[in-house]
Amino acid sequence: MPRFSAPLRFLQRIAADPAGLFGLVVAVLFTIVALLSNEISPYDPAHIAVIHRLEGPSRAHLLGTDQLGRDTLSRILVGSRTALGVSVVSILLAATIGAPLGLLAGYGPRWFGTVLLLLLDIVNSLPMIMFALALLVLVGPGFWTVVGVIAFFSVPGYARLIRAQTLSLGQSGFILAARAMGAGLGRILFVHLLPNAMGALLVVVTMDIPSVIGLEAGLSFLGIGIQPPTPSWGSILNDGFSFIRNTPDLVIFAGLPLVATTIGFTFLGERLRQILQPKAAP
Amino acid sequence: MTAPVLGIEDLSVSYTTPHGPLQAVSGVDLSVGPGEIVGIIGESGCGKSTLVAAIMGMLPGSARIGSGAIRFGGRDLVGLPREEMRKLRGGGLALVSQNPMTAFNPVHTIGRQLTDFQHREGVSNAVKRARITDMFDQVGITDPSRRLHAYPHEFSGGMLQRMAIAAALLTRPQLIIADEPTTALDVTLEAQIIALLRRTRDEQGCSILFVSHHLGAVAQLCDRVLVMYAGVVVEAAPVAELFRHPAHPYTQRLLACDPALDAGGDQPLPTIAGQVPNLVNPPEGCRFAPRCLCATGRCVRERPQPVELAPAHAAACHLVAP
Amino acid sequence: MIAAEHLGVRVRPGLSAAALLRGHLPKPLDILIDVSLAIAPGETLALVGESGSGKTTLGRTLNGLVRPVTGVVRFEGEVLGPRASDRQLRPLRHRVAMIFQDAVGSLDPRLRVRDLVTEPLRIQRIRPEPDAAEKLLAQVGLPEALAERYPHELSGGQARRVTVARNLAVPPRLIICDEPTAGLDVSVQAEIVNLLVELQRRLAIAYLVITHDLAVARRMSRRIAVMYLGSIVETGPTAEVFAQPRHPYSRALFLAEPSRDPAQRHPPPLDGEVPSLQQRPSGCVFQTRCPHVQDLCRQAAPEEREIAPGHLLRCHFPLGEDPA
Repeated sequence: MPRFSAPLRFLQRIAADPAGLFGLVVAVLFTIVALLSNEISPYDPAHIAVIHRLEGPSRAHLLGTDQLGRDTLSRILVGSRTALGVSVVSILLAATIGAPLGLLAGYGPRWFGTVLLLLLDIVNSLPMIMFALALLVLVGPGFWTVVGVIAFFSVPGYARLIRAQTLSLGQSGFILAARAMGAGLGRILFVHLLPNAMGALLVVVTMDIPSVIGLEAGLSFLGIGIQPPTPSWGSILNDGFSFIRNTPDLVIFAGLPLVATTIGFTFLGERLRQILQPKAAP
Repeated sequence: MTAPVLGIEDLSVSYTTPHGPLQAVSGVDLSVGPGEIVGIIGESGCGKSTLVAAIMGMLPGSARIGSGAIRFGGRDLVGLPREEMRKLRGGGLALVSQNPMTAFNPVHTIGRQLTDFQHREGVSNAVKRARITDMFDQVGITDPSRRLHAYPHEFSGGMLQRMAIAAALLTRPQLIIADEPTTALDVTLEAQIIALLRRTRDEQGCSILFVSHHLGAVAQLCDRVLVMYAGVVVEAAPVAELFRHPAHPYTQRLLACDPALDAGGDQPLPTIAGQVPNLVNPPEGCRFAPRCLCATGRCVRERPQPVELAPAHAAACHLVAP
Repeated sequence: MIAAEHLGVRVRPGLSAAALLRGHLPKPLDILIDVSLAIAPGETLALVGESGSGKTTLGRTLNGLVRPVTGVVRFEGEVLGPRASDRQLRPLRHRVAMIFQDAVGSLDPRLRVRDLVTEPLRIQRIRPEPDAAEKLLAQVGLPEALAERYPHELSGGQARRVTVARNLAVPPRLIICDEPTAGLDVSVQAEIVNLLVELQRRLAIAYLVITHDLAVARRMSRRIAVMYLGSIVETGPTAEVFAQPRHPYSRALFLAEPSRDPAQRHPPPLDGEVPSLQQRPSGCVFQTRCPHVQDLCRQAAPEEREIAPGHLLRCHFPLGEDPA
C-alpha cells in the first residue's frame, strides 16, 4: 500500500466532508479557469462588435453579449483571472506584513504591542472608500491601486489574529522549553510560534478570498479599480446595472460566479477550521 | 451476611472505535458491603475509569455495556432509564473526582451551589444552610459562615476537595465513589483527606469505593483492595493481605516497582517490560501473559478464572494454588 | 559548580481595575526569599516541598528563565545577578538543561521527534550528524522508529524520555528535573528513575530533582533540600535528613506520606494548609502550623545555621534526637 505524502492526506481529509469537497472543487476550478482563461475564452473579451450588443444567450454567445457587443462568457472567464490575481496578491501582501507584526506584538516587548495596536486601531477607523478615492487621485486607478487598498485594510485583521494566537502560545510549555535551551527571539518567533499560529491564519485567509473578490468587484464597480477594457466581475456588474432595463442577463451572469466562489471558499475555510483547530490548540 | 451496597456481576463494557470494539472492562465482579471501603488500583488503561463511569451512568455515547449487572439499592443500574439514574446521582450515590477545581461552577458562590445540591430535601433554605455549616465543621473547614459567600476560585485545591466531599455527604449517600481524589493534592493534604474519608465512614456508615493509583493512599484507607489490569480484575484481597502477600504476578511486580520501596538504594528499580495489550484485540488467554515472567502455554491459551486462596482473597492466575 | 546565593524572586501581579478603584496597588509577591544552595559536579540534589514552596521557581531561576530581584547565581566562575543580559546567560542555558513537568506540553506539537531532539544542536550552531536523532533515542532506550512521530502520538513515558534525549544532544553539566515522574504510572516511573540514574553514572551529569514525591527524592539523591513557602528550611545528606529530620516541617512532611504498610496508620501530622503567598507570616514561615511554635518564632525569622557537617537548618528550636 503506497504511503501517501502528508499534503495529499491533508487534501483527502478536506475532501472527506461534503462541504469541504465542494469548496475544494470550487477553489481548484476557479484557479484553473483563471489561469487558463485566455486560452479557453471563445472570443477576445475586448473585441467590440456593437452590432451584436445586448444579445441574449445564443449558440454563438453562450451567455450573450454586453452593451458593446463583447462576449459575456469570455469576459467572465477572463474576469476570474483578475479576481484571482487581486485576491491572492493582496492577501499575501497583507499576511506577509501583518503576521510578523502580530508575532512581535504578541511575544516581543510590551511597548511594541501597545503601539502597534494603536496604529491598527487608527487604520481600522479610516473609511476605506475615502482612502481608496484618495489613492485614486494620487496614483490613478489600476491593479496595484486596488491591491494596495485591500492589502492596507486587511493588515490589521491578520496582525491581530496572529497576535492573539501568539499571546496564548507564548505561555506554552514548549516555548518555555525553547527559551530554556537558549533559543533566540528569531528562532522562537519563526520556528515555533509562527507554524503553530498558521493554522488559524490559513482558515481566515481562505474565508477572506471571497470577501476580497467582492471588495475588488465593489471597488471596480465604483470605478476605482481595474480599468476597461480589462474585464473584472465588478465592472461587468457595473455595466449590467446600467442596462438592467434592457436585460438582466449581465447582472445574473456576473453575479453567479461571485456567489459560487463565495460559498465554495467559505465551505473550504470551515472545513479547514474543523481539521486544524482542535489539534492546533496548545 | 448482609446484602452488599454495590454489587457488580460479570460486567463488560466496550467502546466503539474505527478499528473495532475496544474491550475496556471484561467480566468484572465487585462488591462493596455496608460501611466498607474498597480500593481499586491499576495503571492507565486498566479500565478503572470506565468502571466508575459505568456505575454512575456517565459513560460516553460510544460505550456499550455488553453484559453484566450493577446492583445498587435493589436495582440493576444497567439499562436503568436515564431519569431514574439521574435521581440516584446525588440521591444515594455520590462522586468525588480528581480535580476539585472543576467540581464547582465558577460563577456561583459555594453556598449557593451546596444549597442547590440539597434540592431533594424538602426543607427550607435556612435549614439547608445550617446543614452546610454543620458539614463544614465535620470536614474541617473553618469559619464556615464566611465561606458560604465566597466563590470557588478563592479557595485552594485542598479546601475545594474538602468542600466537594462535604457536598457529597450532604446528599446522605450510601456509596461515595472517590475517583483519584488525592492525586492532585500535596502530601500533607492527602493525609488529611484520607483521615477525613475514614472518619466519614466511621461516623456516617456510608461505603466508599476508592479508585487511585497512589498505592500508599489505598493502603492507609481501604479495607479491601481490587487490582485491575487491562480491563480485568486480577486480584482481590483484604488490604493487609494484598500488600504483604500479593499472589498475582502483576500485583507482585506492581508493588515491587513502586519507588517507595526502600530496599537497596543502588540497584535499579524493577520494572514491568512491555506494554498494556491492545484492547481491541485482547489476548485470548491471560491478559498479563505477554509480560509475565512465569507465563506458561496454558496461560497464553486459556483465560484464568479467579482462584480462592484464602477467605476473601482471590487471584485470577493459573499458577496460584489455594 | 553551580550555586545560588541569597536569591530573592518577586512577581508583581497585574493591575486590576477593581483593585485600583478600591485604592489598592497590587502588592508584589515574594516567591523566593533568601534562598541559597549549591550543587557539586555529578551530584544529585533533591528539592522537595509542597505547593507554594517555590521549588519550581527556584529551578527556573537557576537556568536563567526567571530573573531574581536580589542575589546571584554563580555558574562556572560567572556571576549572574539580576541585571545579567541574555548574552551573559547564554552559557548557562547551553550547559544547564531542564526537563519540565508537562513532558508532552514542552514539545512543539508541529515538529517531529527527530527535529525536537536535535534542536539544541541547531540552537548552538552545531550541525547535527545524519543519525544524531537515532543515537539520542537509543541513549534513552527508545526505538528509532519514534523519530518520525509527533508529540501527540507519544505515550507519557515516551514523551518524558524524548525530553531527556533532547537534553543530551549537547551534553549538559546539570539537568534540572522538574517533577520528572509526575503523571506517570508506577511502573513507568520506575523506568524513568532507572534511566536517569544510569545516565548520571555514565555521563557524570549533576541533577537537581524537583519533586513532591519523597520516594523518588530518596532514591535519586545524595543531598536533599526541603522548602516551605519560599524558603529552604532544611538541607542535608538525604539519608541523614530522612532518618532524623531536624525541622518540624520536614518531619511532618515525611510522616505525612501514606505508608504502604496498612498496619501503620497514624493521624495526619499537620493541620490546616499552606498559607497563601499573600499571607506569608512575618517571622518564621512555618509558625502557623508548627506544633512547637513559640513567641520567638513569631517575632523573628530564623537564620540558616549549620547544625552538623553539611546539614543546614532554619529553625529556632531544632528537633533533637527523635525516636519517631
